[in-house]
Amino acid sequence: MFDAEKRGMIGLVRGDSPIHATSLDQLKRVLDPLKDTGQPNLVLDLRRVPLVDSAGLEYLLDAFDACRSQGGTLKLLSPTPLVTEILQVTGVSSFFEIFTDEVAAIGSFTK
Amino acid sequence: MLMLLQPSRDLDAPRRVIALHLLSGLSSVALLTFGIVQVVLSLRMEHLDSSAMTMMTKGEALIGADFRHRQGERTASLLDRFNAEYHLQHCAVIGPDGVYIAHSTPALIGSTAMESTGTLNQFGEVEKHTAQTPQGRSLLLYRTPIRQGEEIVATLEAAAWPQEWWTTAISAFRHGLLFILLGVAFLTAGGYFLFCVVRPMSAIEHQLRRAAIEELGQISLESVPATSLPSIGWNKLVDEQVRRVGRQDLESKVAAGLRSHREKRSEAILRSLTDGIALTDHEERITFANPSLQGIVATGEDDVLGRTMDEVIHFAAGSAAALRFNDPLYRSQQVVAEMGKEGDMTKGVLRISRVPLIASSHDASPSHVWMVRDVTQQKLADQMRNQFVYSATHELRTPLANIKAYAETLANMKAIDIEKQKDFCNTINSEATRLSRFIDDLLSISRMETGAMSLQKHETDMMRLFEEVIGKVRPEMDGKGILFNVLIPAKLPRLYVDKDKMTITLVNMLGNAAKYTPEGGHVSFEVEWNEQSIEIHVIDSGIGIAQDEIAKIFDKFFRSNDPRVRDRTGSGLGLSIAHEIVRLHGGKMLVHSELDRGSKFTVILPTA
Repeated sequence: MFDAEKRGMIGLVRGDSPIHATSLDQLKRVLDPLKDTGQPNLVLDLRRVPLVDSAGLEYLLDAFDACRSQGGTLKLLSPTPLVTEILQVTGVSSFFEIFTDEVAAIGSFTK
Repeated sequence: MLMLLQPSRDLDAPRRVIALHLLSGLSSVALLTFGIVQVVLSLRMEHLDSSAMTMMTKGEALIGADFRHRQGERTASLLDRFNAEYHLQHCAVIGPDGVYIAHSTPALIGSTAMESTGTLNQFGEVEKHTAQTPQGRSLLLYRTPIRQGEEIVATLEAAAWPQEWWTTAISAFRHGLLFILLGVAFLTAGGYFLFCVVRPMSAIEHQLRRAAIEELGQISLESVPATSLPSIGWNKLVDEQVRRVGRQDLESKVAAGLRSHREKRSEAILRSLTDGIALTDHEERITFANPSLQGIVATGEDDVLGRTMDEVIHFAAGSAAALRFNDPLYRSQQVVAEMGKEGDMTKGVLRISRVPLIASSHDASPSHVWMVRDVTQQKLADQMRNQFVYSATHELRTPLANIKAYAETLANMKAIDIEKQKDFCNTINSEATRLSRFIDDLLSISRMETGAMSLQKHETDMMRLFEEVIGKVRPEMDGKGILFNVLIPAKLPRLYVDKDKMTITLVNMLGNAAKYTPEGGHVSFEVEWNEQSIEIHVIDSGIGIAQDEIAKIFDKFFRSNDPRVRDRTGSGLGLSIAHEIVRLHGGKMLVHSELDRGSKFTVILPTA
């Protein structure tokens, strides 16, 4: 299950489900409205996301591109060791700013 | 051939040469043929006259002898013989009375002789006349007198068809067709060879004509078949030209490619920036806007281009920023200003910088580069930092000041009543507790933000938990004379929760209710549950929360601007921590409030 909250102008999306083909719609329902409005500056909290599969990676990249195309960005927060390894092996991590600290992730938008 | 013969100013010289060659050649052949026909016609006329003379001389002698010696008994057979031998139309003898007395066509004997329509010639006694048949055809009549002594006893007449021009021509073609065709064939072959010789010249002239009409840069010169020295020379010129143009083309292509690459790179850089960038012309119309600007103003590219920045960003009328951007004095200077989104600071804050474009900075109406940054988050961070500094200062200084004051009093006063000493120590203790609680909150927030906050869930008797919570807040309720209603079902499920943290949450909610409910008010603590969830309601008749502040009450360090809140101590951390604890339990916290009427906080926890 995923939900979103506003930290000032920053959208913080949290979840505790794996991001894979069958559960992707849950994330889309929460993330898509945020990335399609204004200048989307988003943080996806992956602390409790146990797994990301190829469909999830593709969606993350699409969401990242969508945010960038509107002058915003999508940053990742505290992926688990397994998700970190998946992001690194697939090279997806090179696209994202990844933070281990929520304050730093939210604060990075003010710098 | 027809194309070559077409009279056209545009026909190139070699083709005109071939056309003239063929035209003159064909004219010569035609004239020659006509001359031959004329010659043949003349020769045939002469031959006809000559044959007629011979026949007339011979006939006059034979028929005159037959008249003299046999009274004309062989005349008919002689006429038939002459008629057949000399291919005559007819042959006849005309009597002195103008009537045919003998005729190669016996039926005409006794008829009047043909009337002469004109005398053409006379050869000795032979006269040549023209006449017409009853059918209207022309005839040549040769007539000579037959004499007996000096007396003319009859006239010998021979009629022949005149030589027609067209029959002669047909005859001439029939006999001379091969030669005419050979002439035309030679003429055509000559034309073809001439064409082969002049074809390169034609190609060269064609290209020279194009060069005369079009721009030299637009035509590409082409080589021609190397059949002659001029064409070889032309090919050399073309090769040299192609090499030179190729070098120029390569240079211009490389230059264009570099220019395009630089432009695309520059545009890609601008499009990649997270700051909104726009370019306006001297009329202040937007000629370029990167996606970030469109994102910041939440509109499409088509909606931005051609409009003014004022139309896109909505400068607040009369604001200092609007005045500076619209002041002509500042048009050649950099202007930086902050203003609200759509002119409203509550919707967000934009920092807008406008600089004249370097290329037009000395113009009276320069183009401008605009940089727009959404600094709302920075402003919020600043505000939060200020709030934190204010809260921390207040929350730390007040208890510290009290502790210091009471401790100094205890230390400096020589004789203090034991009861007062107890009071002072209690105050020092409660202030130290307050400090400790504030520091605990700070630690909780810190853990929460770094993700270090974790739950120690155990199966918990919720009734005992609620009783413990109620026990903690009841003294405060009673102290303020608040009517505290508790409505808890007799039977409650056992939940897996972090008992300590859930206690903190509920104490915080009830503590807030007690804090912001005036004396004599009422607070309710109600619990209800079902198979899926348990709902905990804290309802008060307190000061309530303004609608525009409800969305912010879970933000860290948020304190309401309501003076009734400001007067009370508080760090602005309690609800933020409570909200996070509930979220970590998989639940959610709802709030419903009306200013001056009271608030209702609800915690929903899943039972599963």
